[in-house]
Amino acid sequence: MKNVIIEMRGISKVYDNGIIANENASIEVAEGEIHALAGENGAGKSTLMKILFGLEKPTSGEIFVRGEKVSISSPVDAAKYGVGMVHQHFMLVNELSVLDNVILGNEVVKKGLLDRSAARKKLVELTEKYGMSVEPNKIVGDLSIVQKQKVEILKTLFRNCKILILDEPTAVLTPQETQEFFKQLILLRKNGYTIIMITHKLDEIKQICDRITIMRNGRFIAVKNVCDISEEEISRLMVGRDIIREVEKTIAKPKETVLFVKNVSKAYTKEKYALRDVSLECKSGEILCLCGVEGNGQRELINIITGFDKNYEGEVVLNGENIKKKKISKIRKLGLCHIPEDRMKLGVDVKTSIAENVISSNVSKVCDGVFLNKKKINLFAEKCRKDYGIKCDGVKQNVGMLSGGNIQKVVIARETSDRPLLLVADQPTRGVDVGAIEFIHNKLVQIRDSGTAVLLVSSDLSELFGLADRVLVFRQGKIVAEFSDVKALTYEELGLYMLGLRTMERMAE
Amino acid sequence: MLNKLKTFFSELWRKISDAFIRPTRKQKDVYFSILRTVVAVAISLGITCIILLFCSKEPLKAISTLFFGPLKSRFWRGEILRGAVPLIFSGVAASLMIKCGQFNMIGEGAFYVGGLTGAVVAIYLPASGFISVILSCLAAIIVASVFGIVPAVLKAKLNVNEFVVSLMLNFVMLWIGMYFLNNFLRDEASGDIATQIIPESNRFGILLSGTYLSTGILVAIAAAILCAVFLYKTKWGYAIRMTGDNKDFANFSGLNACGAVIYSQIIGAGLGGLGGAVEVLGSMDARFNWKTLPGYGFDGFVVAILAGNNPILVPFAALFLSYLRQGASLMALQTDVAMELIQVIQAIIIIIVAGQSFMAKFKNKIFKTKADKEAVKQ
Repeated sequence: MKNVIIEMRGISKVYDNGIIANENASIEVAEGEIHALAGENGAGKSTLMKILFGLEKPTSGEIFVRGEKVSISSPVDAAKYGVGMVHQHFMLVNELSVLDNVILGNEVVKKGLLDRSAARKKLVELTEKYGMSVEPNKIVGDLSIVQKQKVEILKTLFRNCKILILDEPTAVLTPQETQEFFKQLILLRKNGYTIIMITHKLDEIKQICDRITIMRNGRFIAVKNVCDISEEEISRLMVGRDIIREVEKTIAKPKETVLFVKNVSKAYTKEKYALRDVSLECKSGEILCLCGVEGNGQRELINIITGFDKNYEGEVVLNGENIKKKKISKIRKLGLCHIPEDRMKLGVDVKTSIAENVISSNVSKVCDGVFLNKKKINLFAEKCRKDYGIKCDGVKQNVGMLSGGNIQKVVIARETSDRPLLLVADQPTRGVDVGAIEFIHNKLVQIRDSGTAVLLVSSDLSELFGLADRVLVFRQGKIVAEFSDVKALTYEELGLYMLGLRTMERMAE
Repeated sequence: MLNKLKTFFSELWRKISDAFIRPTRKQKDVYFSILRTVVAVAISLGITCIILLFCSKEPLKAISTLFFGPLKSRFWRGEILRGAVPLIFSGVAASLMIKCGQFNMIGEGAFYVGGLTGAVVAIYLPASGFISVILSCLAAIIVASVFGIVPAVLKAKLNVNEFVVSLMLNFVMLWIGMYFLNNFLRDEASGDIATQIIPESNRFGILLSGTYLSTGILVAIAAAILCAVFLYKTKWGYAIRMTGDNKDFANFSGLNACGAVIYSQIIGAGLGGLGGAVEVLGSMDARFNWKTLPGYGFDGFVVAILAGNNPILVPFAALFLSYLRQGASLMALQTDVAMELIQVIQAIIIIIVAGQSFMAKFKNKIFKTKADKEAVKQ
């Protein structure tokens, strides 16, 4: 093994709300390697890296950089030791140019004034050296997600960081983009950079990483050479048990159509359309998956179907009624349930109990007249806890105290226990641990079999392949392909449609 | 029957003892917030004592008057209770609105127009006794609520900041009230700018002899209880709480978030109006003679913060604040310290209680030891 560049020893972190994120965790990273940091959600990977980057203060423990004990109390400190981090959610100023974003906080100054030309020269050198073509003058808000990620990485390189922490960098990328991105990482490794990559994706670990550190429950579990360990073994170490990654399901038996989307268009400006003449049908008893690179109209369509967006042309008919003029509560009464993408913002109220969270979509069910019936609430909440395996101290516990996977289970318990007519599941397993993913997948199949129409939006392709009975591909606000036989479909083929290299002439209806 | 009672009491005892011996996480949270408030109050009182040591020539007398003066006589104990009445109304109103995430200052103006309306109805309406009192209170609630619609609807429909609107609306309410008081309602015989005297039968009676405490305090306590029931036991209260915690979530769930924003503020204004009427009909002046905003609207927020926005705790917080105030006014009467000292105490309490991270480290310690024990078990 080469020189150890980073060592974190006995790190514990207890948050102000009493949640223990790390307990005696440790990690050792060698110079010039790509090191994977893997673990379930809530395993404490991000917290450990935030400590290394100076965003969080450890409750106890020691950090060594190149064998020297250091204390990192802010990102500025971290940059001093050559540590840079790219967050899962980009930290960029959308209104500023690429160059301004890169120099922000690390301004090149000449005689007290910004020296943009010197900064630009340095930035262009970096982009050329590492094959990250980004135009320095472009406004960041206009860039695609891949390019924004490049800007984030350039930001750390510009600060002369030699150690890069990447928090789930491929979560937002298509398969092709991921491969392109990996090439750049390998180039960086060749030039002596050390990369720590937080990830869930086992195939990516196998493909690009040299060593892997596995964490569970905030603790260090194992460190291995990636070539010595199989995907199954990694998965087992992460969850502490074997996980069946295939979803068991029978062939779908679609029945009557419950959702009609007829010629829906939504314009941003006169030229730019978010959705252009989109029509689709969703039948009960099938899982229809909308896929596509993010920002190609799926989000807008979901907002229209779920009643958040009323500003569109065309018709959406649910259960025989046009929903355009209906409030969300009315649409829900027609039989819509919705697992939102952003569960912390829309899905739950973290400040209140599990019991109060699972009744919100159907309060009258647990009411006598206008009064809440405590018994009914507790009975229903207990049932949800048992049926959905929500791990908690009790149904009176605040949702904010739960882990990500359990919070999602609370959402799913609320949205599926009423046997809806149409279930919109928007990224139902994003950022959720492996055990919960398996549970959620089975639940979705189960609810399909009970006669619900499931409209699934997922950027996780393995989820899509495992669950979907029918796939629609979105590209630039249009449906460019439809696949009814998902088994015959390959990742590569789907990627070609998603990226617009191929388009299917849709059969005229 | 006896057996049933026995099991009921043993069950109750078990629950109570469990809560202390093996508290759940939630109960621990409650204990902690109580402890936190107590410590905050103790610190601010400590600081007050230090200030007194420096600014008074007879600090010991000042301190003892502040803390023990109002407890010494029946009259002053009555004054503590009397002073708490308007604070309960404005505290409950503020808690209700804060629970919905609305920082609405309309309590001030609502007290003013409520007091005036209550007085007018009591003086001019040809009803008397109990019925007159009820009509006065109802009229006060209605008038204040109508004003309350303005910031509520502006917030819900146009997303106009309710804080700014209500703050300015207070002066509109004050001067509208002053206009009527000056031009139509003024009692020419009185040297003061005031209404005529409210007939005794149309006022709240004295509850405790030897004090000025009126039966209005019963209305205040009833209002606090009703509001607690409304907030925690009805689906409308549920919608208010969910909207206050996370409006997007409430909306997403199909709860009427927009409606909750509106009715929480209208009810809040109505409560202020009721408070104004109770205050005027229970006061010894026996007439409406307010020439400025009474200040209770702002005090409501102090009370609400002390009570953790829980209507059922509001009467206790109001009593405490009233006790400090009576102590301060006694101290001003009997020593060389000014009444305004009370503002200093209030400010320190609010800063410490509202400071989210105050004692967070200590809380960590409590929870960590528990978690450690669990880890060892595993």
